[in-house]
Amino acid sequence: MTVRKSLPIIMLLALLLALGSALAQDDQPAEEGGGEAETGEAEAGPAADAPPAEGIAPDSFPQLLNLNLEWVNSDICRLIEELRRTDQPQEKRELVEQIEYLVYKHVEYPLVFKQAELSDSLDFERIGTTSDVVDAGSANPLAPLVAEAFALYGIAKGYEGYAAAANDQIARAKKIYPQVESLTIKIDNFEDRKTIKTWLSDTMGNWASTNAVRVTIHGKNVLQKAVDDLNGGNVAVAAPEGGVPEYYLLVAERDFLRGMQRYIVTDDQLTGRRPNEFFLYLPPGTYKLKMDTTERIPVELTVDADPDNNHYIIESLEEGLTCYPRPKVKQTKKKEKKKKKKQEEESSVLDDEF
Amino acid sequence: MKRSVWIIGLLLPVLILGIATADWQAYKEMFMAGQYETLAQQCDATEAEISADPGNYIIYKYCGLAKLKLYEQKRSATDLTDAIDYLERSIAFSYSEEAAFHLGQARMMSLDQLTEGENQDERELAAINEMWESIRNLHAMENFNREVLSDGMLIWTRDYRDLLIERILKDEDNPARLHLLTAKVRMLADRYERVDPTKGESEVRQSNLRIFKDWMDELMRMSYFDNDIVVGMYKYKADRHMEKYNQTAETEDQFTKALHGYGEALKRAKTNLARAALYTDIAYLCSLYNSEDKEKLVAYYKTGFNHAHQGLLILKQIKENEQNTGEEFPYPPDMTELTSKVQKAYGSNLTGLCYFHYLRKDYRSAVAMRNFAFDTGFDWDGKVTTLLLIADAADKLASEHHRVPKMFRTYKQVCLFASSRAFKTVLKNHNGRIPQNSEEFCRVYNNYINYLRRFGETIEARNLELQFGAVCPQE
Repeated sequence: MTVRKSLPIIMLLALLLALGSALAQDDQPAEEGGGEAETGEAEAGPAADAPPAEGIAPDSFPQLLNLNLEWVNSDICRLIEELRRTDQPQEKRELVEQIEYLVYKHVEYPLVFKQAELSDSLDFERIGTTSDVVDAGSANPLAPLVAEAFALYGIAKGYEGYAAAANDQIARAKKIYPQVESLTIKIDNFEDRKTIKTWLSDTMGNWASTNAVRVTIHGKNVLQKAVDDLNGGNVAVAAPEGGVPEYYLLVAERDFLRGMQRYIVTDDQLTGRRPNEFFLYLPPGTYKLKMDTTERIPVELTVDADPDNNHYIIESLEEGLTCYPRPKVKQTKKKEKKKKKKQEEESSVLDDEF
Repeated sequence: MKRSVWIIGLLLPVLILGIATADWQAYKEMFMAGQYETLAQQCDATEAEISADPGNYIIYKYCGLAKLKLYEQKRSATDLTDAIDYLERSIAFSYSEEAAFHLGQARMMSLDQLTEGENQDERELAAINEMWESIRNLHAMENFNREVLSDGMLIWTRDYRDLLIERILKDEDNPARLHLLTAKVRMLADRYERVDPTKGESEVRQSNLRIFKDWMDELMRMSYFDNDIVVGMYKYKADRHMEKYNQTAETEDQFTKALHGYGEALKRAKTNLARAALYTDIAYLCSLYNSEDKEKLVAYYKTGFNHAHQGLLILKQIKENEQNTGEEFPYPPDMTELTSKVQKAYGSNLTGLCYFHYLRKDYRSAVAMRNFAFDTGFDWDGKVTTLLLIADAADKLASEHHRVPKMFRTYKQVCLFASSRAFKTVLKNHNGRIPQNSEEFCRVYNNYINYLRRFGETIEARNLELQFGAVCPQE
C-alpha cells in the first residue's frame, strides 16, 4: 500500500481522533477558555475557565504549599491580633472559629486527613508533606510552617481563655517541629516580629488561671447521617450543678458540633490512619450532653480534673448518637504490663550491676 | 474524488470541534459583548438544553454573571436571586474561582434583603469566605512569589475591599463581627506588602500597581485609625471619593459622598488626633469645592473654614499635652504634614469667604473675619489678598461711617492694621529685602501708602516712601 493510498485512511483515523478529543472537551470544556480575561466589564478579569494549576510545574508544589501555609499563618496572626484587642468572650468566639476554619481547611484537611485517606487506598506518591509531617517530625520542610499554624492556634485558644487547649496545641506543634518556640511571628502588624516563646511566656500567666480540662471524644461506628443531622439547634451542653460560665457551655457545644463534622471518621470514609477523635474543654464537674431534639434523656459527661480520665466514645445508636465513657480495662492491663516490664527492666539492670 | 476526500477529511474535525464547543462559547461571547439582557433571556428560555449540555457549568456561570450585571444595573431582586441560583448550580457541577467569587459577591449583595432570623451573620461570613478563598486560590495560581499581580486579581481585590468596607459600616453595632472584618481587611492589605510596582510589565501596569499598593497601604493604616475600624473605613471611603472629585459639576456627587464620609467619621471619632485629622480633611475638601452656584460655594467655604479652625485648636491642644499618651493609635498621621495641611485649608477657605463677602458688598462680614486673619501665626497663599480685602472693606465702612467717630476710628484702625500686615507679609515673603520689579510688592505697598495718606498718617507714609518709593513709583 502506497502512502498516497493510505492517506484517506490516515485522515479517517485523524477524524476519529478529533471526534474523540471533541467529546473529551465536552467532558472538560473549561479547558477551552483558558487564560482569558473577563469580568463582564471592559476591564480585565481573572483568568476564567482556566484549568486550576495550568503552568505550574509539578516540582513547584512544595513551594506553593509552603507559600500557602505562610499566608495561612499570616492570616491567623491577623485574627489573633484582633483577638488581643477585645476582652469580651463572645467577640473572641467568631475569631477563634475562623482560625479553626483556616487550620482545618488549609493545614489539617489537605496535609493530614486527606493524605491519610489517599494513602490508605493508593500507594500515592505524596507531595512530601501531609501525614508524614506528623510522623516524621522536623525532617519535613513544611514541618515548621505546620507547627507554627498549630502553635498560633494554641495562642488563640489561650487568649480565648483555654489554657489546657493552648498547651495541647503547643505540644502538638512541638511534636511536629520541636524548635517551634524559636520561630518568629508578627502578631501585631504594627510591631516587630517576636518569637513564639516570647508570646507564650508573655501570656501563659493569664492562661494558667483558667480551669477547663480536656475531654476526649473518640468516634466508633458513627454513621454519616447521624453527623449530617446535627446542627446548632439540636446540640446542647448543660451543667445541672451550675457554677459553670455560660460561655464554656456554648464553646463546648460549638466544639462538639465542629468535632463531629470535621474530625470524626464516619463509616463511609473509614481509614485507619486518620485521627478519629476531638476534644472539648470543660471545668471539672457533671454535664448533660443532648444531641437531638427528641425526649431522649441526655448523655451524662463527668469531667475529672485529670484529662486521662476524660475519654468518651461516641457511637451511632439506631438513628441517633450515644456517648459513653471509654472502658478502662485495657488501660489498666496496659498499665500493669508496663509496670511489670519496668520492674523486669529494673531487676535486669540490677542483675547487670551485680 | 481524491481531492474531495482530502477536503472532507480536513474540514470534518474542524466542524466537529466547532460544534462541540459552540454552546458555551456562544454564551461566553454574548457575555463578553455586554449583551446581558439577551443572554439572561436565553438562559431562562433554554434551561432544559443547558442542563443537558456537558459544558453546563460554564453556561450557568455566564448566566449567573449576566444576571448579576443586570442586578447591578436595575436592582431587581429577581435578577439577584437568579444570579445566585445559576452560580450555585455552576459550582455544584464544577468549582471555578470566578463563579465562586461572584457567588460570594451576589450573596453579599443579597444580605440586605434578608429578614431577621435568616442567619444573616452566618450567610455574611460564608459569602466573605467564598470570595476570599477564590482570591487566595487565584493568588496561589499566580504563584505567591510573583511581585506583580494580574489585572484580574486587582479587580477582585478592589471589589472585595469595597464589600468588606460596606459590611463594616453596616455591622457597626455588631462588635464581634467587626473584629473579624477588621482581620479580613488586614489580610487583604497584607497581600500587597510584597508587591513591587516597578516590576509591572508596562507603564500603565506600573501605574495601576502603584495605585493599588497605595490604596492597600492606606487600608492597613486606616484599619487602626482612632482604634475604631468604623471610623477608619468612613475616612478611607471618603478619601477615595475625594480622589475622584476633580472640581467639576460631573463629579460633585463624589464631593458630597466624601463630605458625608468624613462627617460620619468625625461623629464617631474618639481621640483628638483622629478628630484633628478629620477636621482637616473636611476643611481641605471644602477648599477644593468649585461651583457656579455662589451661595453653595460660600456655604462650603464657611464649613471648611470652621472645620479648619477647630482642627487648629485641637492640634494646639495636642501639642500642649504631648506627655498625655492615652490617646494613641498605630500609624498616627504625621503631625507636621497634618498641621501644614490644615493651615493651608484654613487660609484657603478664609480667603474664599472674604472674597465672596467682599463681592457681595457685605463689608461688615468681611471685616468680621479680621481676627481670624490677624491671629494666625502662619502664612498661606492668599493671605496678602485676604488682608487687602479686609483693609478695603474696612476703608469702605469707614467712609460710610464718617459721621460716627467711634466707628470711623475702629474701621480706620482695621484698615491700616490689615494693610500694614499685608505689607509686612509681602516684605517677609521677600526675606525682608526690597524686591526689584515685584508687581505684587508694589501693589501692596501702594495700597498701604494710600490708606495711610487717606487716614492722615502722612509721616508714616512719607517714611515708607523714602524707603520704597524708588522701587515702586506712585500710580
